[in-house]
Amino acid sequence: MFTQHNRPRTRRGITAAGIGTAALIALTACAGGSPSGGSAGSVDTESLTMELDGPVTSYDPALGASFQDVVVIWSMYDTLVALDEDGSYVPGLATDWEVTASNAVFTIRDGVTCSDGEELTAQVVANSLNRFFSPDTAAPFLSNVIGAGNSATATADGENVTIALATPFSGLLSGLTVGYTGIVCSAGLADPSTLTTGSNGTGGFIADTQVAGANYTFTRRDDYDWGPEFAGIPTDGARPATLVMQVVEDENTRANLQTTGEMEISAYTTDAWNRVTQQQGWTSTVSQQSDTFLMFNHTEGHPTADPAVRMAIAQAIDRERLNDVQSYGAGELITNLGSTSYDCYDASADDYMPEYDVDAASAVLDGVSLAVNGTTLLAGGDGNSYVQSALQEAGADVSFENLNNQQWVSGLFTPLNNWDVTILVFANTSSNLLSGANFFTGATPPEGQNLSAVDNPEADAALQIARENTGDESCAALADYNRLMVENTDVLPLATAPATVTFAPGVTAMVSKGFVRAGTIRIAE
Amino acid sequence: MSIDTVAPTATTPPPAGSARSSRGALGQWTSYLLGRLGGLLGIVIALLAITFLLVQFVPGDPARNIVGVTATQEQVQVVRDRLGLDDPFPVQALGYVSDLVRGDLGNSFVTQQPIVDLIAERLPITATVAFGGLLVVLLVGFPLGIAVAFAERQGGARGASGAYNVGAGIAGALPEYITGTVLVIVFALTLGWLPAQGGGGFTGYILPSIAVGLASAAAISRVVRSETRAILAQEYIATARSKRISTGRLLIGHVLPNVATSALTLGGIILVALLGGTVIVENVFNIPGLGTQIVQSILASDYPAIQGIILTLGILAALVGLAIDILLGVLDPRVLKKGRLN
Repeated sequence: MFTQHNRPRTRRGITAAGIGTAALIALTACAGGSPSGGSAGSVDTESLTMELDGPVTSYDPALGASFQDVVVIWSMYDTLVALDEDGSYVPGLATDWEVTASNAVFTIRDGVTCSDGEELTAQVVANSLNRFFSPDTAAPFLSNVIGAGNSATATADGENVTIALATPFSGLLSGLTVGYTGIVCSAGLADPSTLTTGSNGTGGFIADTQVAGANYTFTRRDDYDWGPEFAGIPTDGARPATLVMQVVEDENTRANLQTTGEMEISAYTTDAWNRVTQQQGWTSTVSQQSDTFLMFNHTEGHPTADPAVRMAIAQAIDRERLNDVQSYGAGELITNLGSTSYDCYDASADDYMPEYDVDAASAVLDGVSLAVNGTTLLAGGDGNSYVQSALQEAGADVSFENLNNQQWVSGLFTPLNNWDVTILVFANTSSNLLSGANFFTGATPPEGQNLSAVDNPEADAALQIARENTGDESCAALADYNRLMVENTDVLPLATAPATVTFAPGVTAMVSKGFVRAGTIRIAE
Repeated sequence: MSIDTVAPTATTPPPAGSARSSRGALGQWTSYLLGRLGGLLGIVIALLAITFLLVQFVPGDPARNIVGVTATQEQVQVVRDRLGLDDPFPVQALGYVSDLVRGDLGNSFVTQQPIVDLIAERLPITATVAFGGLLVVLLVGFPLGIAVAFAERQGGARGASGAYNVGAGIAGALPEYITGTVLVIVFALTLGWLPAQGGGGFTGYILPSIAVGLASAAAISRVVRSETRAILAQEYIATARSKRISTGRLLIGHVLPNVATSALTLGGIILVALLGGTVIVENVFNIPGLGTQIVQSILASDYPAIQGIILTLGILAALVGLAIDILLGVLDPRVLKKGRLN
């Protein structure tokens, strides 16, 4: 009798015990439906979501400094000139230009209007550039445009704008291709505080709403029919009426969102993009974004202050293997301080690059203590791990640290100096060899940007000639500079590192230096 | 004191014992609440001091993080001056406290957004995830614990009990990021039932809530099972059963009231833990809550954001504790006499 009563109660107990699990499943099942972004393969032209690497500092072009800042700024502002994927200059707001090392004259395009309806004139452009040049603005990118310690003024004359530099600097034109020099119209210049979260430019989109650090929404300008004349610009399809840039820092999460159709465009430095392009109709494009160099700490007391140790480290590194690890072989080996597409790239540098030779490296490095660190920015820092293992293989006693990018950058600019070898990852947005050289000359941190305390007066002299001249003279000096630096193993150029950008079916856009140019996004109708 | 004012008391005196009792209860409540509020004030002051000191040890120069690697030292210095980073420590501390008194938590170094606005935008999102997690604990953990205890009491259901032990053990041991990742793979990527992106709407909160609440639900179910078994072993339960009281009435009339006190206490502790757990889950599901924000802020050395968020979460945790204390005082007046919980 007891047993007979017990059995149903036990069953009820079991049933009840299963309720929790069932509730869990039911909770998810009852929600049903499809993810908010719709299923993969169907993209509407009303709204498009693209990924952003991190929070935006400011919409104000002059105050931008990060990857994500420049992507956002390029959607709302145009520059005078632009840089195509092959490294050639193409017209932007300027249709023609003449540039020397001391000044530049730009002819401003007709028929361009600002987001508030104001007509873009040469005077508006000059005013915007003068704000960028002003020391009071403290534009972080200024020294890359006009050279460190230099000054510049812009004047308007009819349809022309002339920029005059106080001392010659050959990097002006390439600097003016970067979004931070984007032209701001009169209302924004009159009250720059409105530019922090608003916009007043000539770009294809207008700032709408934002949840700072999470997502940024922009509205299409229907009358936008100018913009950079890129060779491969997509022309078919409609531009999205609303563009949402969503901050997604983790690349696996980006792939998840693309796989479920919640995000149409995203960039990757790891192989997470593979999962996305396995879906039918999805496409990808590989665009070289960063340049990487091996830096040796020259500060007295560090083993790498010894040229023989630096040479041995260079011999211990197989750059092809490093490229395989760092970017799955999709990067290009480089022998200069920048990509092969940059002006003045010297291909003859192959002749004096250190050869991979583990035996020679071991003869010097056996038992030498080396501190290696690096940023996790590329492929989670796998390239840094390769450097560690290569040096260990050569007999060095290696301590190793993979750091997130902010920590790594902060470490380079503090007097802590707790590293001997590190891979410098530099997204050279202005795409010239002078910008990379800035990290190997002048004062050391915190006063300057000579991150590895290189002291090579001959190379510095060659660099100065390259800065103050244009054309062949500048290129010859840059070639000298590169040889002097590499022969002394003050730096070891490694490889470029690409960004792989993936697109939902029917979506296309121009990608330059790994950055999606929002104004060129098209959706097949 | 006029005669009029004392007359009513003299003519209609309340029962002497009742008055003493009321005065006593009021006194106990006053002392109890004052003690709790004093504790809350102490927590706020300690949080202020800790968060302010803590950010001084966050590595990195916020100004360099803002202007990037290409900026010159002069440009970095302009930003340092603007942010007041070179001001003496006491000046910074005094400025922060005086702004705080006016309800101003400063502006984010990175986005320049007022921290008050940032918290106002993100706190509801984090709270939704945390309360969703609590809901999972309440809807899964409690019924499961009680059900298993009832089943085990009969001496049968060994298989179910074993399965429960294994399941609860695994669920309780899994970190939130593993649970979250598994949920995304199953319900978003494989089945396509729910979005991989958290937040935004009801469906966007389901997976994050489960991820944040599942381990706690497993843990709480074990506690509730144990409590329920102890209660079911009491003699008065046997008496009640002998009177053929149904299981439902037994549950509602005897088990739940006894489990309620410890459940409430645990619920408060769990809610506070869930608020902390959202830091991981928000990152897995890319939810723009306080958890995601604090990770971003630490990496960027965004001092005002770090201070503001820790202060908010700390005060929130202290307020939840206070609310639980008051509720327990109402439910079980014995805690008023002790002045503390068991």
